[in-house]
Parts: sequence; structure tokens; C-alpha cells
Amino acid sequence: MKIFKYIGIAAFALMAVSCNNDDDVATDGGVDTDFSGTFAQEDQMGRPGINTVFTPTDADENQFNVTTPANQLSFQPTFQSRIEAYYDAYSQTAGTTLMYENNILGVDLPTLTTVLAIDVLQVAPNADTSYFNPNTGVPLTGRTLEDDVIDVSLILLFGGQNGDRFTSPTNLVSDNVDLEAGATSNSFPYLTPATF
Amino acid sequence: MKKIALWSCVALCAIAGTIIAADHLDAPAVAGTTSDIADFYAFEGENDDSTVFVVTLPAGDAASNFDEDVLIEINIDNTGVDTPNGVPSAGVNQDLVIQALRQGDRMYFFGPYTNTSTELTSTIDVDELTGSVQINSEGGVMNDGVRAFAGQREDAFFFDFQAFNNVIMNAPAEGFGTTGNNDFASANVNAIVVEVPNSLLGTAPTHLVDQLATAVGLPAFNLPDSYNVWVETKRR
Repeated sequence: MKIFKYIGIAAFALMAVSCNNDDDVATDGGVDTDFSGTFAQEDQMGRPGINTVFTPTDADENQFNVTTPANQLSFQPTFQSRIEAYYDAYSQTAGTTLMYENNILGVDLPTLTTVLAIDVLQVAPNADTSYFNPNTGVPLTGRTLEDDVIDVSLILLFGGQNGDRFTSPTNLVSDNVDLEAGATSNSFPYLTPATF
Repeated sequence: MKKIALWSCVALCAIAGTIIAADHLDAPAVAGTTSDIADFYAFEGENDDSTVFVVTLPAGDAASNFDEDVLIEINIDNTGVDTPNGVPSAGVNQDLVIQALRQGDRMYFFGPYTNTSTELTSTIDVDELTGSVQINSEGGVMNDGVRAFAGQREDAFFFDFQAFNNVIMNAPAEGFGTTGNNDFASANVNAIVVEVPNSLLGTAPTHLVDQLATAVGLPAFNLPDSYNVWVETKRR
């Protein structure tokens, strides 16, 4: 059972605009179409996991979703303090003060959070795609359906300069979950049919 | 896995008795609505002269579908950031956009094209129609060699969501275990897949990370030139 309910109906009914512009109404294959109106942003995403992981309050999350990338750098201090708060929690676990160390890319926390605050994904048109591969160092050229973005994110945040800083006794660098077999395909459309 | 419901998950899971599909409760203003993005992927296509964009939204059941009033926009920056005096200032801007809107049993695609509305509101230039595909068909090739699909698919995202919540909700923090459980194994999504010849996307700029590293005096990583891409949902 999934719990998604489409509860936005009332909200968008209030926001609905006139759909009677004949210039924008066409018929294609028997389907009446309407492409008129002004569409207002509600959600946005570049890299996986950014908003909820790095924005501390509901208000911040809402605001981040309606902030264009050109203006997202304003969130860098918020992101940095959020990561520092995570380290404070892990310091309690360890019984000693733990601080962020430059990660496997050699990037310090202000630089890392600057990159993360601009929530866009880089995709290279002329290179193999990998979100990041700690073993080969092939980095940051997009996101495939198979990429383990959770482990990569954990390694970049907590893995330190070798990517294995927190492995034992407190494992913070892998959720130990792999891609579900059969969920993806090498050919278009790359995702396999749904099963309900 | 865009925005995982970190803090609220445990209570919700207790109510629902299950984990949500891949998006996962976003920010409160959008969580659970038909504009709530689950995931975004961009990768080299099976034809390596093309780039594939995948956008997914949660599909709770077999009757779920794309909202006819929610525009999906894939944004492409092919000029990079400005870094005057070593400080990134101007940020990333939309240079090209691909728009997708469901009407009836078809998904209509526009672009990639230069749209004059590049901020928080958008309109559709109907002259930029690239084509349409029937929802839940196998998709097809539209104008300019752009290939598209729209319909229900299995959610490829994988994550031990409950373990993650335990990790970040507790202080002193717990770690992940030595084994994990993929809480998204049975989830489905409404997906659009657009495969675009690179020739339609312009020349990729210097990789953003190299631009930022250089700006703060770090050695360049010499990463491959890359577009900066992101997805937005907008409602009329």
C-alpha cells in the first residue's frame, strides 16, 4: 500500500487560470489540448537528497523549492551549519569531538557546501556517466539509474580524505543497499514496467 | 531520492504502515501533491551522442497519472557560472528548457528551446512543440530525433530509508548496520524519459566544480565539460 494522496486539488483550483484562449487549444489524435496559462513553480531538484538533508526547517525546505539556482548560494551557510550539527551528534556517539575533514575530493566544508547549495546536476555529453565512483575516481558526470547516490553522498560528507573514515564501530559511509535486480535496462526507456 | 522525509518519517510510517514511494515527502508545501518530484537522472544514452533525462514522480497505485495542470521542466545551463573576483555570483541560469505536459492520454514535449520565462513562472510556446507520446506506450521518436517516453515504471531508486532516519534522528547518532534493506523495492513512479541529441543542447561549459574550485584557489580537477541541469514542476 502506498500512501500518496493527491491532496493539491483544492489548492490548484484556486490558482487555475482561464483556459479559453482558442489559440492555445488544439486537437491531436482526438485529444483536446490546452497549453495556455502561467505555471508557477512548486518543486525543483538537481542532485538527490539536497533539500531535506541540508535544510533544517519546513520553512527553509519550502523556500529552497522556489529558489532558482542563480540564487541558491544564499543557502550555503545553512547547509554548512547543518553538516556541522550532524558532526556534533556523532561526536556524542564517539565521546570525542569530531569535525569534518576534507573529503576524498580534497574539498573543504565551505567549498563542498557551495557546490551542494547550487542544486544542479552536472552531466557530461562526451564522457561516461557516473555520479561518483570512489574506486576509480570517475566523478561528477551525471547520474545513472544504477548509481548508488546514497553511499556516494555519505562518503563525500563523512568519509574523510580516503572515503572510509567512519566504517567501524559507527558506519556512516554506506547503507549497504544495492540496486534492485531488474529495475533498469540498457535500452530506452531504461526503466522497467511498473508492478502494482 | 530527492528529499527524504527525515524527521517526519517515523511518525508517518507508523500511521501508514509502510514507506512511501520514492519522493518521499518533500517540503510541506509540496509533499504528497502531484507536483512532488521523486527523482531526477541525467546520463549518456545508448546512443552516446545523446543525453537522457529521466524525471519521476510518485505513483501510488495503478490509477495514478501525471497532472494535466503540472508542467514538468527540464532546465539546461550551457554557459556555467560567473566568478568575478573569485566569488561565484551570477549562478546557474536556464539557457534551454524542455517542457512536458500531459493532456488526455498523451504527454506533449516542447523543446529544447530558449524560453523567455526563465524564473519562477513559465508559459509554453506552442510553436516549439517537438511531439507527443501516448502515456504508457513504448514511447517514440519525435521531431529532431528527440525520443520520449511517459508512463508508469518501477522505481529504480534504492535506499535503506528507515536506517537513514535512525542515523540522522538520534543524538548520540547511531550508524548504519552491516546489512541494509531497500525500502523502495516495491515502489513505482510516473516517469518521463527524454533522450536528446547532444547537438540540440549546445556546447557544454567548463564543469561547475572546476569553476568553483578555481574561484576559491583550489587546483582544478579537470573534470569533463558538463551541462548543468535540473528539473522543476510548475502548476497553473
